[in-house]
Amino acid sequence: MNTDPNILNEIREISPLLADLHGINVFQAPDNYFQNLPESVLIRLDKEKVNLNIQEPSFEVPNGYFESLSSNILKKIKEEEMGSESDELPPVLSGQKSINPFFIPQNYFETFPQTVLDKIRNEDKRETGKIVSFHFKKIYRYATAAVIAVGLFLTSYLMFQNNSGKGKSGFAVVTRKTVDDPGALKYNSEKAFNEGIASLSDDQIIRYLEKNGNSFDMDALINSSDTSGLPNPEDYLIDENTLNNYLNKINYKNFETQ
Amino acid sequence: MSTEIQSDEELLLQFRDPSTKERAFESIIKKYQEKLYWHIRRLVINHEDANDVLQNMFIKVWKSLDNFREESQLYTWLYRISTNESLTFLNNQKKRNSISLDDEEYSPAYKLKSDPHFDANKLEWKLQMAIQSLPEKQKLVFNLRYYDEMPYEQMSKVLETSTGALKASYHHAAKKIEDFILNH
Repeated sequence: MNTDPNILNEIREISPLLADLHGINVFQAPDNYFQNLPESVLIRLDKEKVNLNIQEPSFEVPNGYFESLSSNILKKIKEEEMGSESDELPPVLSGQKSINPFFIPQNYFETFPQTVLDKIRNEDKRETGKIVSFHFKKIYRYATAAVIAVGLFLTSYLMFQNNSGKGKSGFAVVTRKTVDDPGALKYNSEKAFNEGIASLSDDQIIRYLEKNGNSFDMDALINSSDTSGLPNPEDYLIDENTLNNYLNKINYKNFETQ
Repeated sequence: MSTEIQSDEELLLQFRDPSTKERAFESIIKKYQEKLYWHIRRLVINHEDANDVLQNMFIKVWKSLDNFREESQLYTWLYRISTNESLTFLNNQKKRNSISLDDEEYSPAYKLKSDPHFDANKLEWKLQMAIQSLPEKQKLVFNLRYYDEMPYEQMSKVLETSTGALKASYHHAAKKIEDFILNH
């Protein structure tokens, strides 16, 4: 090997020892290795099926190639997009991908929009009812308040009548003649009536109203009630505390224990 | 042989011609095989490994030579591929050894000592032991300059490092080697 004098000088300046060793090769290659190497590489290329046979370039295109090129490309893109996911699946699953084991009623999709529209219309109707339903309990509480108010009114009225000397007992109005249910006869005094009312829970009152609410003569009830102190129903619907404030105002607790 | 004096440009033209492609490739192998073999051999040390790396490298060259851009020299490109192939081979060997715990068997020092001509008392073998003790980059720089006499400008393209850094690296490597030889 011809040594480049510049490189030799360079190493001599750094290390004379290495300059003296320059050019010595301790490694050896087998005999005829370099003579045989090109053939060995070409044999390997052939064994590994690397394309050694160069085909002449062909500049011809099939008939109608360019006419159908754009649609073929689009088709290929679509196929690849569709196939990209199924390619990731095991063959046993990708083969099943197009099989739908589920059945639907005949004309399901034809009638589906109308079905949905009908459902929406029905829901709209129910929605209105639901607003009432949403405040169902509140309205019964409102009715409870009205009943209490009526009770207060009647009690006051009867007591006034009683105190006017019409009878010894203010609650003597509850007789066999006015009440069909014999169990109600035990409420024949003001005290018994108050205790009976006080013993009822809200739920019992609500259940009673749910069962018999329709049997009330609402006109008679409203006409005989002093509803002037009741909150406006709209206020009540907007603010839940309105009814509570009213009950506190009329000293509801005291009424219960009276 | 006439192919040995052919320029890289001529060889590449012939390679692109289907009728002369195989013959051109054979000429390229003949032109560079020795330089590349010794470059690889100094890195992987034993002949069998060097032969494997060199043949694999030429097969890769065949597959990618059509895409070779002539902005870089064929010589530089081949050196870069052979360097990368050698380093990949050594890294894979290192990984395999770390699994099998045969570190000693595949260490560069062990490989050197396994060479039938190894003689620990000879300076040239001490030099090889010293080179194997260098960090990878310094080893590459030292080999390319000291043995292959590669100009720094070309080395800069092979290793993608500035010439200044290469000069400094070569200087440090040579000093380390001298210390190793003097102290062992």
